[in-house]
Amino acid sequence: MELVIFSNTFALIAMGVTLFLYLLSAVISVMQTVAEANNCGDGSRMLISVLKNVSGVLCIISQLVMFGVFFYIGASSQELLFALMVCTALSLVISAPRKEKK
Amino acid sequence: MVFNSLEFLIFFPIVLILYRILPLKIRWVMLLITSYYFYMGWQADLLYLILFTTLVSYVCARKIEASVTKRARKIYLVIALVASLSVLFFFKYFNFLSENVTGLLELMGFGVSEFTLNLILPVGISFYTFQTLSYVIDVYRGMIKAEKHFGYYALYVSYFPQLVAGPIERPENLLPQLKRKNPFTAYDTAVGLKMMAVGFFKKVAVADQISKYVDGVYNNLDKTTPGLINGFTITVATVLFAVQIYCDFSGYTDIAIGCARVMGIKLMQNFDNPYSATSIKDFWRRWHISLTSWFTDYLYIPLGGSRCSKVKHYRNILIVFFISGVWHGAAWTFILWGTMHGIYQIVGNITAKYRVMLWDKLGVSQQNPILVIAKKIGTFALVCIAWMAFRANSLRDLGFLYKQLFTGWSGVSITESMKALDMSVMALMTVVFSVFVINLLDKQINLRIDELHLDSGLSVPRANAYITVCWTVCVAWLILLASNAASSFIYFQF
Repeated sequence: MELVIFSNTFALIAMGVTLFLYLLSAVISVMQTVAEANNCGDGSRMLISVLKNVSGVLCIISQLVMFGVFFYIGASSQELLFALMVCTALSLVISAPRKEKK
Repeated sequence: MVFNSLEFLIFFPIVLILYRILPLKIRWVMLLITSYYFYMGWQADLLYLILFTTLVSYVCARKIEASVTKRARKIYLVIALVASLSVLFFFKYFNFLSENVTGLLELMGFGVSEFTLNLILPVGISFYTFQTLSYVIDVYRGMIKAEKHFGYYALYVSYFPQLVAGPIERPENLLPQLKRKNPFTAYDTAVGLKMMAVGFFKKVAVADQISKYVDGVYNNLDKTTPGLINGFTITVATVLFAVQIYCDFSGYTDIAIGCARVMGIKLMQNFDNPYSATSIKDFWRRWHISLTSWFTDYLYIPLGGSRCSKVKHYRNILIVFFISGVWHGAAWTFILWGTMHGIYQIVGNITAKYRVMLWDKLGVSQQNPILVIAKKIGTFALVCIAWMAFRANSLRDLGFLYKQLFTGWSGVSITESMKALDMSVMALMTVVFSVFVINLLDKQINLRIDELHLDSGLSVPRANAYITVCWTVCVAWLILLASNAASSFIYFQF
């Protein structure tokens, strides 16, 4: 079976951009953890929080574009499901809640 | 009505709106009617069985409480037990027993014609019967007071989120919550909806997607080219079944707990990452917790539990697991599955001391991460070997499966074996990712959710995670609808 999403240029670009944005979100998430651990000032924390939310919005948009491209190029349902699973896994890793310090 | 149907997506918001706008005094009436309506979505004509079991257990519990002598209390307890168990036995086990007795008589040379009745197995009968039994026994033991309000008691038995496949609730947990006002809170609603999303994800995006590969092997043992059903195929299909049954059942439980939580009601936990168990004993502390605790409280401890001689202790374990197998279904495969778990536990108990001695001698700590991983893999393998009995369509099939699993490894071609499973590389990768996703979701949304800092401030990435989960459910649902492969929950048959 030919995998459309790995052989179409637009699909590859869309996937690349989405993965890059998820990576960026992950980096910002790590920055937030580090900032909290080092008791950084409110300004820095707020900036990181804004960046995190902005990158989150970009992830949602790029994800939508990516699936739009997949539909357009006629990807199979199995390919769509696979891409969705990857996105779900990435978004869950990035947004994993931390235990509240008591 | 099943959770993964369009009817439920219309039904639940209506119930929720009515729940919030109706005064507390008449809320139970609405919940009772909607719960019965929910059940009637399957078998309207078998609703009388729930009504009968409810009425008998209600009256007997009231009589037990009102009785002065121990003898009278015992008589009412026996009446309740016999009435509830007779209904369960008749509808679930009559044909099984009849077939086996006939077969046995034929073996002994008596010419007896088979006598079976055209019975439909009432959905969820084992669940609501056990729930009524726990109520009557608790009243008999003096642990709770008998419920005076018949309406609330009927609602306790038939509360729709947990009516057909649990969790098997205890009266002291559910009854007071049904009577409480349970005011709307954004937190409960958010947690409930998230749990429902996770449940739908497990069921629609994982369990139902995997089922076709499992069925392809287990339902076609005669049709498939014999050479293709080898040790590798069976191993993959069985591991997939382990994922399927977990996602199917815990998915149902998550939806049930989520539905109740949106109404401000907390149902008991039923799963706690069972496949991360390090022993079979540990597995049963994590799998179908409400049933395990039911058997512990109402069967294992009354039999003497572990506070008796070793032989009696092992006998008690075997009885509990044998009955657990019988509870799951009227077939020898289920009985064998239960018995296997009993034997696992007994062997585990006998060898525990020697295993500790062995590790001490080798200088390996019990907390050694490699040992812990090895224990988890070993436990998972044992659980999977038992799942084969659970999934096999007959003892004959099971014999073939075990034979192939242990001997059918010569000349195995992985490419050819994957053809027997009808599974592409992309499908395999999807399954691997879905297992990873479920692990993450379980960690995030387990009942320990209350300890987590879930709604602290606005977080787009967190919202995105659940948007993606919902989106995946929608796509997976469409795929199932298009291929007409949407199925009911496995545990509904019990």
